[in-house]
Amino acid sequence: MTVLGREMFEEMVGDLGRAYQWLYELKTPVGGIDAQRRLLYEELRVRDHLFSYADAADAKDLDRLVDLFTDDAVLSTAQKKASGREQVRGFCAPYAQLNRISHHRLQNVVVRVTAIDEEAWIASYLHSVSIGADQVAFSNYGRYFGRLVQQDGRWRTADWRILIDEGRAYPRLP
Amino acid sequence: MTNAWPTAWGSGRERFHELAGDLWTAFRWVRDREPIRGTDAEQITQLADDSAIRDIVSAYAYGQDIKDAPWTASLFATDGVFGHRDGSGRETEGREAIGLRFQNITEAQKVTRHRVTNYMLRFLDGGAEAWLTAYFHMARIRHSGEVESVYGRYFGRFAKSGDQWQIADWRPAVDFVQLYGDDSIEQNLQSLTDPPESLPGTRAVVQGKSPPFDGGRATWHALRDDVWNAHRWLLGQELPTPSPEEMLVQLLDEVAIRELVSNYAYAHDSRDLAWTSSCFADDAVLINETSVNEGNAAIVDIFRTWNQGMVLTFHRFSNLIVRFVPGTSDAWLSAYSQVTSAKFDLRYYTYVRYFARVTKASGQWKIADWRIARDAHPQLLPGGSTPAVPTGGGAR
Repeated sequence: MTVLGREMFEEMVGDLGRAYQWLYELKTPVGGIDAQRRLLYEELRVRDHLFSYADAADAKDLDRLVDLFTDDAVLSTAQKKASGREQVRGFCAPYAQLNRISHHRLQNVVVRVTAIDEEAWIASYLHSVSIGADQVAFSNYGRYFGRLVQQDGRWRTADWRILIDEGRAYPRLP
Repeated sequence: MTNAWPTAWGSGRERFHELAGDLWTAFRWVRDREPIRGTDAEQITQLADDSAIRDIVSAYAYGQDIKDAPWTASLFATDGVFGHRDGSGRETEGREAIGLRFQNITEAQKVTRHRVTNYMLRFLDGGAEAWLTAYFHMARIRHSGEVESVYGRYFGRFAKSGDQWQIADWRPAVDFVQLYGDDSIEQNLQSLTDPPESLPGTRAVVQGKSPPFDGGRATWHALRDDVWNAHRWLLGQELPTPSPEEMLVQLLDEVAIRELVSNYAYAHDSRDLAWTSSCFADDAVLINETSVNEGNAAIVDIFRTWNQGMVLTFHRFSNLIVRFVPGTSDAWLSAYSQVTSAKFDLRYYTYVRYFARVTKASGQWKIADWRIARDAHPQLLPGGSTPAVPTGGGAR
């Protein structure tokens, strides 16, 4: 197993369709029974990390959300880039203020642990539904692509790409 | 990995209901536990139990959607509790009473689809008890025609009775309801496939057709006309307990099959026909209500047709059930999908169920038989939303 690093993430992140296909086809050797058990365990923890991200965002708990990222994490969208935890906090804060409530629903998740105690990759679909202060409902459909590293026995996000493919508002009828 | 089982966490019904009043706190409590614990053998068992409990949640969704209240209630322990103990909703205790309550809930809707995501599961009490948090989305069409999306969270406690996991406590909390208006719905009701009448029975009884669990295409053809029944047939299969080594291989294969379905979604939504082709075996068969497509080339052709005029689609899969056929390279799966699509300025939801046979060749899982059952296709119109209820509300 090999750490692929930020350079590989930057190479893949420009086209998330291709990035997903690359990740799906990436084979990680599993070895014997202990290695298999360990791999399943780490994949479970990586999925838990993803769901913790959704929960922290929906609970509007910015401290917990930022704690899921590494000190030098890079979060990017098509328009913005946030480097480091404070910028990640600054990126997320307006959404926590604007949304009365939200659900980040994650589906079609694919995980690859490329180095068992060091690095993992993840891709998923996102359906984010939220209600703003004026009762307008929003549905956003998008995708996540991320690279995680393990620090002090915990998975943390080192690189995170958010792509919103389609968003629509559903204003309240009079 | 940590091996000890701390006793300070607490477990059991009282602890569950202490936490069930605030599901945000409950989530964090669950999250802060280690996913699996104990000896190597116990950890393998928990990985398998994790999969089995997710199956129960998928079965719960299926039971609600097919409106089979006794069957859904059979997923609960005889003294199971559904609902609330904190004054925010009604609590129902005992399997029989839960069944009656489900009867009332399901009769109030014309169609529902419960889709469960963001699972997080933890084992307590030496692995004898498991706690789960998850998000749900219940799309519902009322008898009057309104289309609504109900968004909420589940908090569940599971206990083992013999070899069987059962729901001991189940707390749904609705966070908000999104309304899509009703102007266009009447015409779309014509295209609905209602689930068949509720069938009596228990989880162990396979209703209707029950062909052999042999992994062959003939079995798939025997079941594919009624995907509700196929779903139940799959859930009802009692399979021999594999050895720890076999179990690990199955769990890895199960992950691979779930990812195959995700890969299908990505390929379909990307409009990349070569990618879609790679998901199917050379001699695969795809059937929906209007066409039978035999062979990989014919399947690619039907995808080419579907892609015409479609600007965006998002196939979001959930509620997967996977069963391996012993001694073969085949497995069966059923799944839900909600497809959001955009044609020009119009937006639609399509509720779809799948029943499939997948097969492994040269280390790669591929779709061998793929049945698509489209249930409803409502247009989404601006309709607003109900006030947000941050800490729970009515139970579903």
